[in-house]
Amino acid sequence: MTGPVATSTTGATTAAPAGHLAAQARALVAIGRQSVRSALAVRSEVLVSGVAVLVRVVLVILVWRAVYGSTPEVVGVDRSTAVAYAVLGAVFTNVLNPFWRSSLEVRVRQGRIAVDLLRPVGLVPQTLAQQVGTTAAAVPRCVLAVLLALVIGALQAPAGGVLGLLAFAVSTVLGVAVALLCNLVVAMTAFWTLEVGGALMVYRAVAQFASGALIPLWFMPGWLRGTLEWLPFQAQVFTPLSVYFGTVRGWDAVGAVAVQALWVVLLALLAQLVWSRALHRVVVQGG
Amino acid sequence: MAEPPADGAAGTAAREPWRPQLREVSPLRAWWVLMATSLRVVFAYRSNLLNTALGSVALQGSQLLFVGVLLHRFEQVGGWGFGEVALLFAMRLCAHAVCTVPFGQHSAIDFLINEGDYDRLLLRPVSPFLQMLAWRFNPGSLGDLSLGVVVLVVAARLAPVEWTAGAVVLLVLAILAGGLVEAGVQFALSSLSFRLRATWSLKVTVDTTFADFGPYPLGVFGTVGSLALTFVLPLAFIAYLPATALLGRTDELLLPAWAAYSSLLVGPLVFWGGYRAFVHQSRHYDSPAG
Repeated sequence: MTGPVATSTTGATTAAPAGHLAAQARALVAIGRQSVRSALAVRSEVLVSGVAVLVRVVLVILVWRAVYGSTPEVVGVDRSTAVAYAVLGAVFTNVLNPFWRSSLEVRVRQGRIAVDLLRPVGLVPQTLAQQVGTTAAAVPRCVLAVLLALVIGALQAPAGGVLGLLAFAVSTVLGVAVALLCNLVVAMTAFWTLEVGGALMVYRAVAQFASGALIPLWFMPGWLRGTLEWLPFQAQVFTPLSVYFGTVRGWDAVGAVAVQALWVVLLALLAQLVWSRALHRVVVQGG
Repeated sequence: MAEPPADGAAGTAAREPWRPQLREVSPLRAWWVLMATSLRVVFAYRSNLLNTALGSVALQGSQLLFVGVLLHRFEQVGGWGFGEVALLFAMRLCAHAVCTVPFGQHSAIDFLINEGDYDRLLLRPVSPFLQMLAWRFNPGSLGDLSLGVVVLVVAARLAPVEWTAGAVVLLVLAILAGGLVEAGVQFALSSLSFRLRATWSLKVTVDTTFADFGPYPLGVFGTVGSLALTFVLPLAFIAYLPATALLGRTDELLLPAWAAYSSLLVGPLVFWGGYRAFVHQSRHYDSPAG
């Protein structure tokens, strides 16, 4: 059952003429758009998610202001930077670590994966397009949260003017790419275990902490920070925010962004490797 | 069970149609029978049980780690030191386990309604509410419970509390009451599913707000924030109020000192209120099967 399917999907992606590639791109855009629409389909859910991120932003501002109290500076980080970091950390984690992102495991478990495999677009691009769609649907509520923080004076414009903003944008896009690829690799373990709820929860928790979304790496003990710098998680949140606050600047910033790009390449290769193995493990349930 | 009477038996009884005699089963017994079945299912899939429990441990553990790093750097939050925050964290997590272990299946309500499974609950001679609670046991709750107990044992040593018999009784009752508060709130939110069909985000938002902002003394949220987290979203009753009684910190409350003990009464009340809301809203159930 899986044999002929495997050849058709891999065949379609490797030996495709230019017109075919354009058609694939159109299909992926359509998948992305569809998942934006499905993420925004239920009004009450959209409203609740919007209010939730606003409430969270207000609460983290209060906590961090209280933590600092009257201390102006801790380990070289002043109060307003710590509060602003916490705001952006809450916003980033809202987009990057939702409870559910990929429907991959559900599709494996319910056997719908068979239909996905028959499509003329590879499964990895399909899943990534869906994830990009879900992420895009979260952008409006996050913009609202950032505006709220700006209005109440808990956030300031990025360091380094227009160039700084540009560097932050590039770093953010790479951070999102790292997060989506990490998520994809974890979700693909469903091909072996059929059940990845637990693995995704562990991943989500580790990523939240290790990415610096909850607390910046500045405050961590040296050994912990040293360890986390070797992992892909800090490339998701800590790097873009360090660029935003100008704690890395100039060539250091370029270096930090290059490390993010390296993680994107490594994780993409890992995803491809896991996928090539997974294809031989596909069990189409109920089929 | 009664035997069907043989044909031609003497007397009028023979002409009456045969009915199986249903034994009256108490709701508690029915719940336990269903729950035991769910537990057997969960324990049949060991690796999944372990995975999901680990997931919960990681989720709650990441907050513990965050608070740990925060206190390592700042030494105190809102005037509370490491031992005090640890006790507050542990009480909140144990209360959460009191909610999730027996009542955690409220999270299945959207699924039950939208997939039409609620129809099946209505066909059986047991309250649909009890059947929902025993629908599928969430193994993650065992992760909450294990981590909660471990942290509580450690925190009890670190916290500046003299553990007299009275203090221990208060601790246990406060944890039970805190679990009832959380369960009551989640039942009330679940009841909205009969009308809104999608309450998942709302429930997750409340759950994560409790988990992520539960380990702080309420003072850090300011007057408005404290009042909102007491009377709008009753986070204060889950662990903070009784913790101030145990730690001798009732003077920092915006409420009178006796309010520190109020959760013992508020817990059962919120629980009962949430249950009534569920039963009341369930009358608006509209089967997706038409």
